[in-house]
Amino acid sequence: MEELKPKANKAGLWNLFLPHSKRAPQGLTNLEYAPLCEIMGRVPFAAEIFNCSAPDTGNMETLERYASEDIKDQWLEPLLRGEIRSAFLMTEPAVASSDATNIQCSIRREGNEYVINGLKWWSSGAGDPRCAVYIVMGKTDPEAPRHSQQSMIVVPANTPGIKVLRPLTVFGYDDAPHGHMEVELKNVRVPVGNLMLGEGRGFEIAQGRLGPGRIHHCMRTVGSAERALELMCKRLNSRVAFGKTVSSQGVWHERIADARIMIEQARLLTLKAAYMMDTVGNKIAKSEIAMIKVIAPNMATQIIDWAIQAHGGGGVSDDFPLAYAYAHQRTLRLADGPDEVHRNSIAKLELARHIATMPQDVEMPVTRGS
Amino acid sequence: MNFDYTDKVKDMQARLLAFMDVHIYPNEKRFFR
Repeated sequence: MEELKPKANKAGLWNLFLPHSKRAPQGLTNLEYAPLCEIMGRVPFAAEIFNCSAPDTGNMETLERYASEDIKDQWLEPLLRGEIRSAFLMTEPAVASSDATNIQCSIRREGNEYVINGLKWWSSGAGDPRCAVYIVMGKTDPEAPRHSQQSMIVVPANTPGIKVLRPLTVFGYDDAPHGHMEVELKNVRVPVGNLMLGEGRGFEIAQGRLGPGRIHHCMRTVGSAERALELMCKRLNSRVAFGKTVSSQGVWHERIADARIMIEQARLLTLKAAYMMDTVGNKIAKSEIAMIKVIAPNMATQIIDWAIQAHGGGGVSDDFPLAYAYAHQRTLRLADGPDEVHRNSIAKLELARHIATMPQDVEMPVTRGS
Repeated sequence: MNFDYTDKVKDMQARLLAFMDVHIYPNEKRFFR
C-alpha cells in the first residue's frame, strides 16, 4: 500500500488532520476535516494512505503542541512525511486504565536522564517495523496530588530496555503489521529534554490530545456506518427469498430507516463537536466530544450488525468488510475511554447545571488515547 | 446555523472520493489477505 502514499500527497490529500501547524500548511479545521475523514473511514486502511491514521495523528498533534522544537525536528517531521510510524503507550494490563490515575509506569529522573520502567499493552502500531517512536505516559512523582503525578515522554523505539512482547488480537484479528502490542520497558533511559511540557503535566497533555483523537474516530465511524448501510441495501436489493426480494420484506424497511436516522443524528452531533472545537476549544467542547464518543460506535455497531444479518453467512466472513468493521467499532466502545466513563462525565456536567453547590469544573476522564 | 459544506470542502470531497474510487476500493481485497 506504500505506493499509494506519494499519490495521495501529490493529490493534495495529505496531513489534512492537523490544524494550525506551520509544519503542515495543508491542515484543515476540524469542521472542514470531518466530512473528509468520514470518507476515509469507509475503508479500514484508507486513513493511513493520507497520513491521517491513528495513533499517528494523535501523536503528531501531541508533538506539535507540546514537544520542544528539537523533538519536533527529530520526530514530528518524519511522521508528517509518513516515513516512520509511532505508538502511544498508556494503557497497562495490571490496572484499570480507564481511570488513568491508576497508571503505574515509573519515570524517574537520574541526572540528565529519565529512567522508565513499566509494562504497557494496547500499544497500537508498535508492531509495525516502521514504528520508530513512542509517547509514554507514566508517573514522575507518585507522591504528588492525584492529577499531577503523571508525565509524558518521547521514547525512541530502539532504546535499549524496550521489548515488544506480543501482539494482542481483536476478535481474532491481529491487525499486522500495525499490531496492538504488549510492551515491556525495563530501565529505559532517555535524555531529560524528551519529557514534554514538564513533570506532572501528563494529564494536561492527555486532555489536549484526546479531544482530536476521539473526534477523528467518530468521523471515520460515521463513514464505516454509511458503508455498512450501502452494502446492506445493495445486498437486500440483489437477493430473493421466499418469492420476493429481501429488500421488500418489511423488517428491512424498519432497519434501513432506523440506520439512516441514526447516521444523520451521529453526523450532525459530530459536526457540532468539530465546530465547537474550532471555535471555543477542546476544553469547552468536552461534553459534545464525550457525547459523540458514546453515540458513534454504538450507532455503527448496530448498523453493521444489521448489515451482517442482511449478508447471511457471508456477513461474518472476510469476503465482506463487515466483520472486520464490526470488530473495530466494538473496540472503539473501549478505546479512548469506555462508554461508561464518558456517560459519567456527561451526567456530571448536566447535574452541575442544576445544583448550585456542585463544582462547576467537572473533571473529564483521562484515559487511553489513539 | 449553516448546514452546508463550504466550496473548499466540497471540492476536496470530490477529489477524495475520486481517489478512493481509483486507488482505495480496488485494493480493499488485498488488505484482507
